[in-house]
Amino acid sequence: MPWLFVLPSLAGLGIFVLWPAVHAIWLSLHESAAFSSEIIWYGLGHYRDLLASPEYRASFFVTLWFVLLTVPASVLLALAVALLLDREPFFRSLLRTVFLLPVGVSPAMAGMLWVFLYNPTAGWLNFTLASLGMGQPEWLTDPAYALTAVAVATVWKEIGFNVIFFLAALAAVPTDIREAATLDGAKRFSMFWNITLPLISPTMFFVTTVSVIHAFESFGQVHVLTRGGPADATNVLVYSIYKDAFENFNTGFASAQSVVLFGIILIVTAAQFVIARRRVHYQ
Amino acid sequence: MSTGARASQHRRSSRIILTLVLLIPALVHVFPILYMVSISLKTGSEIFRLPPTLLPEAWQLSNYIEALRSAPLLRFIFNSLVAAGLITVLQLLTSILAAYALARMKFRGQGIVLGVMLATMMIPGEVTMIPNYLTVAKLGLLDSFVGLIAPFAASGFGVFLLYQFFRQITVELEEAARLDGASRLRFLFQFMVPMSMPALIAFGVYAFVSAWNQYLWPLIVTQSQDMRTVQIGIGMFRSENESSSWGVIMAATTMLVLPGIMLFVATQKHFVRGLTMGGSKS
Amino acid sequence: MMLRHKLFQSAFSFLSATVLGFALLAGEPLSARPVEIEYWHSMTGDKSDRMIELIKEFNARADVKTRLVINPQYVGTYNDGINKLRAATMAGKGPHIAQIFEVGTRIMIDSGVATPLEEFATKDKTFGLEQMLPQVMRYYRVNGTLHSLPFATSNPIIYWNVDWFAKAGLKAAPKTLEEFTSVATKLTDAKAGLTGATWPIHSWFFEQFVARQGAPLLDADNGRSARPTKALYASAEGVRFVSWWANLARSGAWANLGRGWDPAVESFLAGRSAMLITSTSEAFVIPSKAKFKVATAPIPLPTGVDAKLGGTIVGGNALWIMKAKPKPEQELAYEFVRFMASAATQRKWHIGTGYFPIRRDVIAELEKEGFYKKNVAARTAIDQLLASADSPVTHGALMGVFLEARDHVESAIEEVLAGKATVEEALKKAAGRTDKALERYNRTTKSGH
Repeated sequence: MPWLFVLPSLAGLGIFVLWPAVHAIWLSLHESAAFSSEIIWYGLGHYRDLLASPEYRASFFVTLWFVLLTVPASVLLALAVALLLDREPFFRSLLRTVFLLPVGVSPAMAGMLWVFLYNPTAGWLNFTLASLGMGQPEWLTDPAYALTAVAVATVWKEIGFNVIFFLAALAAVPTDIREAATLDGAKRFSMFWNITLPLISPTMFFVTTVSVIHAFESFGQVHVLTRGGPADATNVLVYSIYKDAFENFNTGFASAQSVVLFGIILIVTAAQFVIARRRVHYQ
Repeated sequence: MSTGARASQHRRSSRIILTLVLLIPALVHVFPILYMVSISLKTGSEIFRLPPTLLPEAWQLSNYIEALRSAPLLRFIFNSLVAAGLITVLQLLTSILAAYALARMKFRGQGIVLGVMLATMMIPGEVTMIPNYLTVAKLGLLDSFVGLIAPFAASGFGVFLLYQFFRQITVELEEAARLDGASRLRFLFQFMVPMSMPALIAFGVYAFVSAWNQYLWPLIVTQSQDMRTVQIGIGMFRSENESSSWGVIMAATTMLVLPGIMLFVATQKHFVRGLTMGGSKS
Repeated sequence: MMLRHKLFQSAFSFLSATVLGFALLAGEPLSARPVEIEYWHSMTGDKSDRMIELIKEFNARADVKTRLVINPQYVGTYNDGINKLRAATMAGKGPHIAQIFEVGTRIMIDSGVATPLEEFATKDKTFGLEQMLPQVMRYYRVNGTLHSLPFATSNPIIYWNVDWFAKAGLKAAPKTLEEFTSVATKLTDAKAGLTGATWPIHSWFFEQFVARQGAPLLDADNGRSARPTKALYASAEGVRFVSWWANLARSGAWANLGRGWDPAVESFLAGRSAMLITSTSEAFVIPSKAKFKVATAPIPLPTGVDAKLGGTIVGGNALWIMKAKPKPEQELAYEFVRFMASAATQRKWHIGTGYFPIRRDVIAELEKEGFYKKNVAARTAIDQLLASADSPVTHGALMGVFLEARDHVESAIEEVLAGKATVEEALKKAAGRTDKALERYNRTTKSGH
């Protein structure tokens, strides 16, 4: 009887999550031609090719750089916004809704919203830069700026999500500390640094971990803004998997990449747990 | 002046400053959305005129009409609604059943089942998408609602969330109801579900918004225009073969972004609860 | 009692509806219902409208409408189309006819999913194989067999803004790369945001300009005499073209609008670029949409290169009949393909789009009617193609990994434009990537028919 209750969930997860994870590994050990169902054994060949491939290494570093561009910014900015909102300004709910809005927007939509802002001739961004006397890069077609362009759109989207968690964490901070925070000047800062920050450190850790994983899994905004280009400047790991699987018909190679990505995410998460054990203070 | 009055005066003026300080980032934050709407109301020549203005000269609704003409936007919204809706319902059902069994029933292998379900939360979609694509393709379910929905019918996160929640509900209540002759199933749906409404709604909203925002899976599974979801539909306007002007593209984006934003604003509270419930437990 | 009565009523209605339904269905003999022939295509905008018109015309014919009906389905871009076909093949489903771009020829042949057109066409006297332009046929005929029907055929040409040129005192389009550079530079006005020229960052232009100079893209005679193993992008001709492009870009005379086809056309129509290089398939649309006078010209050649050495390659797409369908249905599909190849259809298609006709008789007829005197723009691409040399270079490269290879070339061009690599470095790197892809393809794919 209990098995009947558990079966639907177990079946769904088994067929579409667990078994595919195993199948992905199996696929990564074989190769096949585009239109044929014939599968040829290739052993660890794909993994060897990955290590030797300059394009894959580039993709890895692009992703790493992307994580560095987006995570600190989206976490710290979200913290700042949450701290300000927590101090109860006027129109608090309205302001909070404004900052949370991008959560209702998908990464692809976020890309679409920024696409024209980045237009080199008529986009608002370059116009502002021009009036400030600064250079106007071709955001989406210049390999030096494309990743930054995608990163900014990503940070914009992610801030709201992180604000939610920070607000919840700040709300859980005991009231006497909150009241003490209304004291002026230097005392307030040391209060924040020595008491508030450690108190919200579990959330900080959680938000950072989730942000890093999200960054590693970015796809929608890249597909909409730059399609992995120009010159593979925004060819993040997931985009590389997508291209190899669904445009180049290289299923085995793409599967190997996805297995490696899985490993990377696991390692990153584990590493963050280890680091956090020393820094995060639980009550 | 007493310290209390001084403190409250201080607080008021600092609150004003605080509000102003937040106002600027808030405007910057909402700017892309305003900009999108502004472009959607402009004509082609006005869009490229410098300096760019936020308010259009004359509000052109022609872009919206053209957008509706170039792609079945309403169909995209319908597809997303059906897919996200069914995914949410299925996830709720399967998770409620499984969570209840794990929290309240005793059976062999219980721990393993729970562990396995939790483990699935660690497996990213990027790993499963290629095998799932092959499975769905071989079954001929590409470009269908079943293909869009089936892989997401169950959720490890849902089981995890509801398991935690159900465990907190006192056992005595159930034992009393069972003594009265209620079957397990009846008890579950007549008592536990109503009692867990906040958690269920929160998870439901979160699941719906997540499903609505999906991009990669619908991208590879849908092929014909009529099956595209909102997120993929918007990508179509960026495809290299679409010769639409920016005004039309932004009009389409506005129409497709609004349902998501409105839905989110309306269910904000529940969504936040759904997120923080699962998150804070880690 | 009430309930039982209601139940009886609904059961009766249900039964009668079912019986009626069966009667209606069974009443019509199955053979009288026209067979639905599924046709997957990637046409959009005006091209799609013209094509749908032709399909409607075919479906309405008296001798057709009782037996078959063509059901067109837009499957996305050419890339999406091939992907969709591949997925459908895995599931044992798919269309009767698929419209595949020209560079998909090798992979389609090797996949074995199509029945060669020649099997149908040689049995059919009315098909008119002998009327087909040899320049078009030599692309699609592989190892002596014509596998598909070249349907939309195109070439790259220059579209130039006559009014703008006149204001600058220029009367004709440039003929050489050097002339092109000086004209484009002259017409550029950076402060006003006006550039002399633009075109998409697409590998097609690289392929065409290399062939124009008489050089192949791949070894093994451009992949025609055997399976290619090496990409020859870093040839002198390839380097010359990309260097010229990069210099033009660096001087600000060429606008970088990315990889899409439309932004470049838009820029030209909006009067922001004086010259546009793109497919002749826009030869009617662009002049009609432009608010200024438009003329066309063949693509420029480097000075000193013998024009007769090379030529342009046929671009566009072809119609393939799928093998998986039962033979009678394939025959029906062939009827539609034959219709699309007929003189009347080719004429309408040519006049309605800008793709040039695949048949000699259509061109001759239009010439006699003085059509090209009035529509000079349409003639440019035809003349350019007819003037091409007859060699594996102009027959076009054949490789199964063309899609991937195009990405390699485009990335290389983007690198050069961004100043991240020299032309030789970038092209050599791209060639290396394509070589690896070719090696993988040759290892995993059996030879086609």
